[in-house]
This record gives sequence, C-alpha cells and structure tokens, in this order.
Amino acid sequence: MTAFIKRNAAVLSAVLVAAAAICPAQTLRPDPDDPGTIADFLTTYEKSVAMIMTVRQDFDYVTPWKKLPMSRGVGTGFVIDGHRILTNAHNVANARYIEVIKQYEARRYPAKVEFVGHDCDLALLTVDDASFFNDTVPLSFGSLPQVNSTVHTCGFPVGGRQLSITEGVVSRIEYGTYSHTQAHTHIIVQTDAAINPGNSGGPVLQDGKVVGVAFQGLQSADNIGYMIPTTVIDHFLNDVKSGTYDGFGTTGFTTFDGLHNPAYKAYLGVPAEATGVVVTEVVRGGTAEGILQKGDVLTRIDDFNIDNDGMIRIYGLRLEYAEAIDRKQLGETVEIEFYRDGKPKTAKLQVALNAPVLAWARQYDQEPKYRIYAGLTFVTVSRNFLESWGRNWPSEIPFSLRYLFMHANYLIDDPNRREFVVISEILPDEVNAYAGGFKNQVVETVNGMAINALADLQLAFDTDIDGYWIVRFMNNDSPMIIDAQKARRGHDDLLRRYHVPTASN
Amino acid sequence: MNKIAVISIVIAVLPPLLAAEATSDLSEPMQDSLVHLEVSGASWEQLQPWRQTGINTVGAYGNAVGPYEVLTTAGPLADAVSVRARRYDQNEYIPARIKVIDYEYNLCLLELDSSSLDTPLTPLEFVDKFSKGSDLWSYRLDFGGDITKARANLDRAEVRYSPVSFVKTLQYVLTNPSRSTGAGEVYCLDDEPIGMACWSSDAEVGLIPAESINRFLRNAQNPPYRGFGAVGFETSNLLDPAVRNYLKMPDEIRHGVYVTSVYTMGTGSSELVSGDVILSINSHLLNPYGRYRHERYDRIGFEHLIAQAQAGETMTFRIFRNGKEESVDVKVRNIKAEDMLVPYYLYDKRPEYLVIGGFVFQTLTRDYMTMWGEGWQGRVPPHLYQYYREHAFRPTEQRSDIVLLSYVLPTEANLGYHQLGRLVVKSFNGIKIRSLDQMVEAMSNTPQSPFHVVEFELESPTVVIPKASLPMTNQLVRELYGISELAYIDPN
Repeated sequence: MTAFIKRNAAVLSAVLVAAAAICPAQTLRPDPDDPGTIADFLTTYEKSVAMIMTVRQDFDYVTPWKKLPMSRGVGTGFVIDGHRILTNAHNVANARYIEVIKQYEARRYPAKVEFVGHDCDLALLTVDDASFFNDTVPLSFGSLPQVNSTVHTCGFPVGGRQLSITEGVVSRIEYGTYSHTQAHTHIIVQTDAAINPGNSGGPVLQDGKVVGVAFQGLQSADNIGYMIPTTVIDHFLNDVKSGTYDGFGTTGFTTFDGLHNPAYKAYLGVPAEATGVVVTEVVRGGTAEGILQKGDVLTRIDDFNIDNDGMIRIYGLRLEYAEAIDRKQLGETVEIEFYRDGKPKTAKLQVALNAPVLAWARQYDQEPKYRIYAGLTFVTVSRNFLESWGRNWPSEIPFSLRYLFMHANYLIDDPNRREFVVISEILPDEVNAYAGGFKNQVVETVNGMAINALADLQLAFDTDIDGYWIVRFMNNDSPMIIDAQKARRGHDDLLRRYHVPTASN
Repeated sequence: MNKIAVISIVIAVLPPLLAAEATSDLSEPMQDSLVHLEVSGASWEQLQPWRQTGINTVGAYGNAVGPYEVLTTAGPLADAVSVRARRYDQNEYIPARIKVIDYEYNLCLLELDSSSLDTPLTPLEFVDKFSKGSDLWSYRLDFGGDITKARANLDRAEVRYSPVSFVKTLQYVLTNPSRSTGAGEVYCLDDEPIGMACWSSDAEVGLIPAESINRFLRNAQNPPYRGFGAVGFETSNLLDPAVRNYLKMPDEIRHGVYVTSVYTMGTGSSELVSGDVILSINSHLLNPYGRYRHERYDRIGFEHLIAQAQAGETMTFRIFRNGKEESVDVKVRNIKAEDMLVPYYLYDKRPEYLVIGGFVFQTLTRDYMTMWGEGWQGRVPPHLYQYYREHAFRPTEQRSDIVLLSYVLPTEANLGYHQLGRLVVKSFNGIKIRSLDQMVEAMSNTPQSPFHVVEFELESPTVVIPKASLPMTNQLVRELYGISELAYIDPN
C-alpha cells in the first residue's frame, strides 16, 4: 500500500551529509566529449566546487516568539550556469547567514538563497560579488547513471578543509524518502562512495558531468550514501525558471498493490490479463476527487503500464508509478487508464500540491504562527511542533496528537478544516490557573464558533458567552472556561511580564 | 531549633518500638490458619490464539477464613488450571478449587478438599482497624514450610487502582517493610488480622483492608455472587471559580466534583450526564477533588463509596445540573472486563479468533496490545489504541467488540494480501460487524456471491476471499501452520 510504504520509509532516518575533494592543479579540459580522468576534471572545475558555511537558527514551535539557539554547519555547493550555486536545501534551511568559500582562497563570499526546494532538498544560491565566479567553470549535468558504473563524489566532508573526492559505484536506483523533510519520496541513487557530513550538496560526477547531488547516508550501514539524481535536479531547475519555486505535486490518491490476487481482480471486474493497483483513498479536495474513487483499478499512467507492484518501466528502470507524476510540473496533467466496476475508463489528472491539512513534511524557513489569549498560546499542529517532544517524539507525544498525525484525513469531519489548533504553552496567570489540563488538545470551538484554522481564533475571541470564553476540544466533553473580562483586562500586562513582543504574528 | 528536632525524632521513633514490644508472636497460633498455595496455569498466545502458552506455576499465600476455605488475592489465580494447598508441618498437597473469584477487586475464595485434611483449618477473623503510624506484623507459610514474620509501618489509607484491574479500591499503604512481601500475606495489628497484601515494592506494601475482605466474604457466602460497584464515569476537579460561576453554582456551594464523561457501563452510566457536578453520594459531601471525609481514613476518593455497595443496590447522588440541585437514584453496577469494548483482561477465558482462508481475525484486547512490549501505549498503532483509550468502557448494542484482521497466514490463495494486518473490520459481506460471532453469522449473508468480502476502517483495501476454494485453503492453512481449530468463539 503506497501510503503505508511512504510512512514506514519516513521512519528510517537517513542522515544528511556532504563531501569535498582535493584536486591536483592541471590544465583546463572543458571538452565535454572527452571527459578525461577525474583528476583532469578537477583541474578544470575545482574552483567551481565551494564550501558553504551557514549560521542556522531554527524556530521554536511551542513558544514561537522565541527562536532556538543558533548553530553552524558546513556543506558543499557547485557552480552551474547563470552564476548560480546548486546545493542541498538542508545546507541552507533556516539560515540566518551564508558564506561560500572557494578552494585555495581565503576570502569569504556572502551568499543568498535564490530558490529553495525543501521537498527535493535542493537550493540555488547567488553571490552578490560577481568576482566569485571569475575563475569558475559551470558544471553541466549528465543523465541517470547505470547501476554498477563508477562515480566520484566531490565535497568538503568533516576531517579537513580541502576538497575531497571519493570513488564508488552506483549500487541501486530506486524510490526513497528524502530525510530533509522526512516525508517526500523521489528517485534516489545509492552509491558506496563515501558520503560523510559536509559532503551534502556536493556534485557526484561521472564522465565529467554531474549525475547527482550527494545528500544523505544510511546511519545504520557502512558506506551507503545517496545522491539526488538529475531527473529531480532538472525538475527543480525547470520549476524555478518561472521565477518562483512551486514544488513537486501529486494527484491526490493512495493505492494498494494487491492485484496479485486473482479473486480480488475478479471481484473488481478487472480482466485477468490486466495489471495495476487499487485506489484506497482519494484526498478530499484533491485533484482526483470526483474523478477516481475507492476500488478503482489504475492500470496505466501516461505511456506506462502499471504492474501489480505499482511499478512502471521508465528510464530503463523499474520504478514506482509515482515517477510518472514526479516528472511533471504543477499544473501539468497525467493521463490515466483505470477500471471501475469492470469498465475501462480514461481521465486526465492535474498534478497539484494537494497539501494535506496536517502535513507529514518537516517545514523550514516559515515562521510558525501563534496567537495568545488569556496567556494561552495557540499554535497549529505540524510535524515541527510534534518534534519539539524530542528524539522519540512519535511515541512520546500525547496520544491524541499521535492519532491525529497518523490519521488526520480520516478524522476531518469539517470540509472547511485548514489547520488543527492546540494550546502549546500556558503563561501562568490567575486567569488560566486551571487550564493546564487542556494543553496540547485540539481546539474544536471557541464560544460556539468552529476553529478550522489559527486565524479563526480572532473572530471567536472577540465574542464571549455571558462574559466567559468557552473553549471546546476534540474528543473531550469538558469545556475550558475563562473569565473573558479578566482575560482582556490583564492581557497587556501578562504579555509584558513574560516578555512576549506581540500577542500574534 | 536543634532541640525541637531531636525531640521530634524521639517521639517519632518511640511509639512503634513500644508497640512492637507489646505485640505477641503469632507464628505458632497461625500454624493452623496459613497455607502455601501452588497455582499452575496456562493462558493463550495472543498472536496465535489457538496455542496455549507453557504451563506456569506460581506460589501464593492463603489464609483460612473457614474450616475448609482459604482467602487469597485473585491475581495469582488468573488462568489457573490446578490449585494446591499445603499446610504447616504437612508434606502432602491438598487439592483446592476456586469457589468465588473477583478479579476486579482482586480477591479469591478457595475451597480445599475436606477429605484431604486431617483436621479443619482455624479460620482467621479480619478486623476493621486502622491506626496510622502503627507497626503491623505479617505472617505467611513459606514454600519451605516455615512460618515467617515481617514488619511494616501503616502509613495511610487511599483509594487507588487495584494492581490487577481497572477498578479503584481502598488500600492501606505500608512503608518500610522489613522484607519483601508476597500477595496474600496476612498483616496484623495488635495481634489481629486487618488486611491482606496485594502488591509490594521495595519501599511500600499495599493491603486489601478487612472491610473489603469481609464484604467480599459475606457476598461470596450468599450466592449468586453479585460483585461490587464500579464507577461508570470520569471526573475532574472543580477548583476553577470561573467554571463554578459559568455553571451558575451559588457561592455557598463550595464542594462538588465535575463529571467530564459518562461510560455506557458501570455505576452512574444511565443516570449521569457529562457536565453534572456531583455534590454528595449517600449524604457524603464530595470536595472539588472528588474526596469525602471518612470517619476512619479522613479524606479518601469517592470511588470507595461505590465500591462498598453491592451491584443492584441504589445510591443517592446529589447533583448540580442545569443550574439547580437535584437528587438522583443511581443503581450500583459493576463492570466485568469481558463486557468492555476492549477488555482489560480475559482471565480464565480463551481469546476469540476466526481464521478464514488464512486471514486471522481476532478481538482487540488490552492483552493483545501489550504484545508491543514495554511502553506499548506509545507503540501500538493509534487507530487500535484509541479504542482502548477513548472507548474501552463504551460498548454499545451496535458494537460490543473491536474485530480486527490481525495478520495473514500466507498461502497462494491470499496472495497480494500477505502484508495486511492490524486493520479494524468495518463490515463482512455487507453487514456491519458488532462482534466476532457476528462474522460467523455473516458468512452466510451473501449466498449468491462467489466471494466473502471484508471492508476495513481507514484507507484500507477490501479483502476478497473466494468461497469455492475456501474449504481447500482452510485445510491447507490447518496443515501448513498446525492449527487444529480454525475458530474459537466464546459460547457465552
């Protein structure tokens, strides 16, 4: 079942990493038809691979007017055409300051993020000082490498300050989770070339061309590293041509690969010779709503037949059918063929974000929103908020939030629901002295008004019922009751005492 | 300051020492009253419910309450197949049978085979006594045949969860035990038995007090055993003046506890609604924490009032509802674990299961979820755990059990479904499933269809089982996986 596979895969924590290489100086050899040795290549391109140093400061999702302590990180990036530097999104996520450093040069060049795609862990940087690019040669891209072919990983891994290069072979090409968001899946290329912390964002080279961007490794194994292939990089670079990054889309349904079973096939009225996957859920409000329904059997997507494992033949490989969607930009369509009640049908599905109400993806560069009433801090439930429970958050978060995180779509009974709102922190005061038991519970209504998003609180708290704020929570018969007049009266003083700059953002 | 401290230490230490000296050694008189119990039992494997676990034998301590009757705690008797008792200075085991067992209140009355006893036992009489701070002496007949004695200090009485069930009961808590204590050990105050140990840790011991023991014995001697009241609702404290004002409670009413939710079983389940404030039970005023003043124990939880009453009796609740006070007659009901939507335990019962074409269907129980190991509450899939956490005490006529597809025993016939499991069954052959026995009935619901069709909750696929090949598949499953019975449905 696709949905289950994605979720389980997300739990396997791949570790974000990065790389670099020492390159003996030799003559330029920019002839793309004659790639020469890796040493030749590096002679030409070594100044095109840069160390990226970042000062990062994450957001505090419990008390969002604060920020967490800053930290420093090192990664790798490389120059591509248009005076741009390509690197991993995780190198520059939540960055407050970025500088790039070239091999054999003391000077630091401040850099800025031009585009970032957290869903594919790629980012484009610009350097204000154009002289940075004077002695660089843009790297060009190749295609998907062959399994068992040799690749070289370039970057600035831990253990030294000079460019490092490691050699390895491509071991696998398949779908996998991008650990930066813990949720998005795209093609990943596995290699045994050493990929260590600091390698992230470095080019993986073959025949003088970039065939991937090093980005993560498997913590529980030796020498299993991964790169982002050029299919994903191309998608990212084409996406930003419009001047904004829109991201990868979906078609808003999940499937189950159970058609190995002839009885199931017969029950669904699918011809014995047909293969495909069974639709198990259509996302409410998604682009497949009204087109597909539970029990439909998807047999073909664009030019690709779907087998009973949900795989298609593409790029000479056998990959998840999701790749047929992944290669499209938002707004483009895929053509599908499917069976419903034994009858063949066709349809076009638009690729769109189809963002769930409670996203599984970790978010970056977005300041968390909050609102404070009566010293109660209201925030939206997100993966980032849940991760504030620490490393073992999936088992340590309150049960109601765990259930919500796993099955939010199932629990939504109001189609207007846009967010889930909880009380993340209580600033103790006389007015909220007895509200502790309601922390981390999902708000359903305030004064009888449905709270489908954080923004709904404003209107609701402008009212009261007989001088009280009545807050009701999901799966809790017991309301929280606040003296509204007392809360309004003490509001400013309470914020001042706790040094909260504003009651909302 | 120092002098005061020294004096207070002396005062604190002296009384127990004096009391200890005043107490007799009852080891000899206890010889005809104490027995050592050996209980052999076997339960059922949760994931292969057609298989019994290995035989497990545990020891326990028993206390004579009649010439041939012995009282002990219920916990060690769970899933018992054989119970034997041994007397002081006697090597032969005496067969025993369970006469009455109440797992909810953790008490068990055993009857020994009188023909195996040369002389009757000397019954102990449990006496209602509570003296905070006193030393108590415990006695037990060890496995080795010796009567051993220990001491602990009676610290407090409190209403807390029984160590083996979901019910809150009155317990005496002892501190500083001089040695480890076993379930069933009798504790004496001033040479009189006042309770029986039901749990222990390095620092504390819990006792079932005489008043609970005697109530159980009276009930057990007058069959049918009806059991005691269990609370059928949840409460939260009512401290917040804003809530009291919102509920329009007059200023002079400063007591009462808030009812946050009401179950579909247990005492109060039919009479109370969430939002009620319970002011008193049988004229005992409840404070905002839900405690009342007990003449002997000072403040203890209101659950004790309900636990004291026999099922079927009526209690008077004074409540505050919709802005005014009123009295409600509440029928005392107990809660049997097997009646819960997700049973807390199924002692002495086989877990129900149904294997159809290699698909293993089971009912969800707490024991099933504990298979996830330590910290299981945070590891069990939340769509299963929520039934336990939110709805365990809320069975309805439409749903008395949670039936799940536990996992699939792979065969060629169920190809494609091998990875499925932990899915809650919504319907079988178009019938909404209330319990596992209803699935058996539903098998004949669609005689024209060539398939049995199972639908599940959440975004799960449909399971299709071909009827024509089912006998053959079932036979194959039997042989491949060594399952002698493909179904067990509790006839009760």
